[in-house]
Amino acid sequence: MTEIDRRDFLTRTAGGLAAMALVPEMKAFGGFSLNETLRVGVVGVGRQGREIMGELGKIAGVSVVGVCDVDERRLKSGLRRASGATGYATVGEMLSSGTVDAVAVATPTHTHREVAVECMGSGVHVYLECPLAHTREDCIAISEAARSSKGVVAAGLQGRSNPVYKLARGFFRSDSVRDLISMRAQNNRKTTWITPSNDPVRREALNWKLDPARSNGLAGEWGTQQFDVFHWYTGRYPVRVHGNGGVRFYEDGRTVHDTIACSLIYEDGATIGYDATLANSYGGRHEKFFGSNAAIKLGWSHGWLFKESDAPTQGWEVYANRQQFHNDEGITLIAGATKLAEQGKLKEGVGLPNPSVFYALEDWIVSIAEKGTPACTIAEAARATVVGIAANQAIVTGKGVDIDLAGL
Amino acid sequence: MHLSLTPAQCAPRRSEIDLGSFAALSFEAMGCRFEILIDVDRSGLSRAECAAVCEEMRELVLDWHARLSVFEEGTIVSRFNRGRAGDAFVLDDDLFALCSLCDRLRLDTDGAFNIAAGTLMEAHGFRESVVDDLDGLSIDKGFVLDETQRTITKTDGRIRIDFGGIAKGFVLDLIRNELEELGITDAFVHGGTSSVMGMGRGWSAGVGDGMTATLEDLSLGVSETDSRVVDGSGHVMDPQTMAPATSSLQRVACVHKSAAAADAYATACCVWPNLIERLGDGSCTLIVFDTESEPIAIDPLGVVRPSPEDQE
Repeated sequence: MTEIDRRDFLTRTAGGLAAMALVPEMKAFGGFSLNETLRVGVVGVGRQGREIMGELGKIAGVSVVGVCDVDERRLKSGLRRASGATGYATVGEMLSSGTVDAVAVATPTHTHREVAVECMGSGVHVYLECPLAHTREDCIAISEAARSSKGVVAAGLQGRSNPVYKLARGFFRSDSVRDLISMRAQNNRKTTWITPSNDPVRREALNWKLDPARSNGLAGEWGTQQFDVFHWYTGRYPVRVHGNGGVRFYEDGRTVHDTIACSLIYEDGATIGYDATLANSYGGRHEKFFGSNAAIKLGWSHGWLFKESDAPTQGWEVYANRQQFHNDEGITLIAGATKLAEQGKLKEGVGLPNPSVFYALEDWIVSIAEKGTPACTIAEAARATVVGIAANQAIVTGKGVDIDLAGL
Repeated sequence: MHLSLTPAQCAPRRSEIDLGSFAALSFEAMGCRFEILIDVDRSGLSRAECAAVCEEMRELVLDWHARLSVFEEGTIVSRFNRGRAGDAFVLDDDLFALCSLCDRLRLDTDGAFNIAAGTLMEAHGFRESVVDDLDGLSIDKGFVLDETQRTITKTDGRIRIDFGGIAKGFVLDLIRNELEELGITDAFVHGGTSSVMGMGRGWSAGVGDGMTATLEDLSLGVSETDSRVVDGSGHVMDPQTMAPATSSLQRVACVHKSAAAADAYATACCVWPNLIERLGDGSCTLIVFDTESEPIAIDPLGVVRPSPEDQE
């Protein structure tokens, strides 16, 4: 923690605002106004794209007017979710129609470069799902296009706009955990990673995540989002990664590992331990910071602070909601705790009302309205993606890989 | 309600089925537990692919769960419920199709099934928020659908819609369509055991009192008047009296090609028992459980059987 961070935090808590420490910076919740309806096109309307369409529908002043997908069935399904929207088979057609002000890209990772560069070149605002790309070269190309883009370009590393994560970062950077000892994260989810289809050509196209040539594996596709939380909190990037993995469960001929583990190492020796599997759901997806005063556990919709018994008590803790986990007691980190307490809703298990992607999209829209900088820039996403690519290489080869962020 | 998830030909209990030949997935959604079973051997797909199909169906259900929620502020349903009379809400094609289906089923049932009964659910304490003044309100024409503009408009600000009486059946119909498109012809899905869909082989669903319904490309919807009770009154609402239904019927099970229609008809018969004769005229089977008499099966589809236990 810097001295300025520490001083700022002490000043705020000393101000007697007991619950203030539980309230994050919430610009996204404030009033913002778009002068007129923002016309958004969504490119790629598989599961993620449809979720994006649903979340955009919750934001006032936003209208999904265009839907684009090369897969006819998905395009048809997407159009049924966007009343009055026009369907396009290519991004070029959508952009040249002149009917969209902004584009959200949720195509397969390996196609991001082509789609994103075209969108950014046309001057529309762009939201690009993460990981940014499946190669370092593509990350650089997308970064260059973003730098010369006239629109607001946001990347979908969702931790950076998540109210719980923003709140917890305030605690982290104000020294609540004290000396950072180690970091761990996992993503366990029992799922096949298969998209079913009875058309062989379509099946091949849809199941890119199981093709080593097009996929960054679990470390890249899932890990990137989580690695970035550590980058954002610590303000640093790991320099080397070791890992291993295998196909431990799905005996269906796949070669992309269904179970992985890796260690991302910082220059000073600090490490992030990461593991992920498609074979078991226990513990789900979370990130943990272990410090000498406390640990922080983040679970995307929820967050907790676990204090050591010798850590100093702060005034606001009297009002905090607590949750028991076997022998440990966590202080719930939730956005807008004061308001929730007033409404009698600050109770065990309370979490965010919307999925993370909602806050990332809302942040992008607010940035467009305010002509500001989004919570996650393409440059930050490029660096996180390259960390994920390196982790996948380490896991696939079984050899340590240096993480090269030069030029990013 | 007892529900046995068993193929009818052999009618074993669930514990006797070789579940090893099925891809199965269960999950919580829409306030209940859904279960999906797909026969791997009859699907033409690998086990992992069948498991992936189950996952896709789970996503479909969860997606509709989120879209139809009256508890989440951002959904179009919640926004409509908070809206004023005359406010037109634009619906996407899928949601408009669901609202149109509900309106057709309202007409089919003389108004006994009505998603605007959500108003009465609130008025009678089944929701956190409360509509406390029903004076002069009619829910029969509580909203207007505009096919051209794809909009829904309240006729009275107090109107609340609630898809709880049809949502599970509706998603089961969507699942059947999806499974058929994927070439899967043998599967069984249920939501909370009260909405059930069987594809392919005849699946035997126990409906209580020694009876089973054989579901061979058919669905079952069950409505119970006292499955949820507040202040001594059940959650099935009578749009005519604007109060909880007071008939002596305890439970109605309906077997129909469409799971949505089965759900709606079962509810409608619980509300107004005089609909039983008309609705049971050939398109569906109705099994009626009355607190004052023996169960009755009106079975034009020929699907009601004694349960295996009774046969023994």
